[in-house]
Amino acid sequence: MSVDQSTTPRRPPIPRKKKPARRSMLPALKRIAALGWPLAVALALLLAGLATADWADRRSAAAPSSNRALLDKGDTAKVIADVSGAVARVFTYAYTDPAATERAAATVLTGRAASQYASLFGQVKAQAPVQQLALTTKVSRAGLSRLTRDGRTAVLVVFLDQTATRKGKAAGPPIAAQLVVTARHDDHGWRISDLRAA
Amino acid sequence: MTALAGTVRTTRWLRPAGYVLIAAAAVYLVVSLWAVIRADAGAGDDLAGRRDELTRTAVRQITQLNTVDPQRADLDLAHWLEISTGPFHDALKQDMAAARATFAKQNAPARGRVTALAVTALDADAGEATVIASVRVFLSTPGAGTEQRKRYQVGMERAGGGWKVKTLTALAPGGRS
Repeated sequence: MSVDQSTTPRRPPIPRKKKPARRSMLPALKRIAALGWPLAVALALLLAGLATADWADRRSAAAPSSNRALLDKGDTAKVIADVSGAVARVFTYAYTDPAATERAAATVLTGRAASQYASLFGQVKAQAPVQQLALTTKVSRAGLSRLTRDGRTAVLVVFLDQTATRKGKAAGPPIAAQLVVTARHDDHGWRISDLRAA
Repeated sequence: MTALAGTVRTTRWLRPAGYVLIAAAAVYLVVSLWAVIRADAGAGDDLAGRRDELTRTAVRQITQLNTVDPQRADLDLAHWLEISTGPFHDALKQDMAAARATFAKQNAPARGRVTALAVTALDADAGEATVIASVRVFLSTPGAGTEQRKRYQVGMERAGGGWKVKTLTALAPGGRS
């Protein structure tokens, strides 16, 4: 009995606990409701703003003027000259001075272009000492297809004339090669990041 | 009582905060709209549009000039005359008979594909431009196909509302053209 008596008065505290909870919930709800509409409006405006910003991005990326090739005359001439020089340097090789080519490749190539270059040029490097090979590459024509708005990425078409000499004697007629070159501008100037035979 | 006063104080503080949020979001929306308008204004850059139009036309025409189906060589040749102008047009016209004979002899269709192209000069006012293009030509000979690589410097001229090929120079290595 005494156990029963002690358990029954213990039960009421549960509803008693609920009452203060309800009392504090109501103002809390009111508070949220009071803040609610400005918050909802702000959120709606924010979403509209985000959607509009995305629209602007897509629109500006699709606009012809996002490609600055030929539009910025100075930049266009500069990137063509720099990248042409870089391509000619890395594809010119003398068995007497392989270090010069390696130095050029190390400074001028970056990222994927380094491995692409290795596969394009590896054979020449392997055969050069044995056959006393020298390869001279000249850029016959080069043009800029794409220059990003920030002036940091460029895509060029480069036509090469390559002449090989074996033991100082011309080894056949000059050979034509066509490349699509992607270049990136960093603190060191234009560097080749992608090489592809066209 | 203290709890209620606290709530009122918080609400008083939160409401202006809500307005500030609205203002900030509205400013962001306006800035975004401005960016859309500016992106549109950029599209009004005439030279960019003309460069891209020239690029599209040059790719199409150089592809056509490297594509021949001996079955319908006459049609192809007639089309070449349509997309050419000036010296190249005259040369084509002159060589018409010889070209026809050559195509009649070969029975392999040639299909050209421009693999790279860049506009190297563009004078939009004079309607003159120069492009360089790298082309691969597939000859579907019976049994096996072969691929030829070509490269051109192409002079383009604006004639009759569109760009046409004025000169077509195959660039041989070593400066021989």
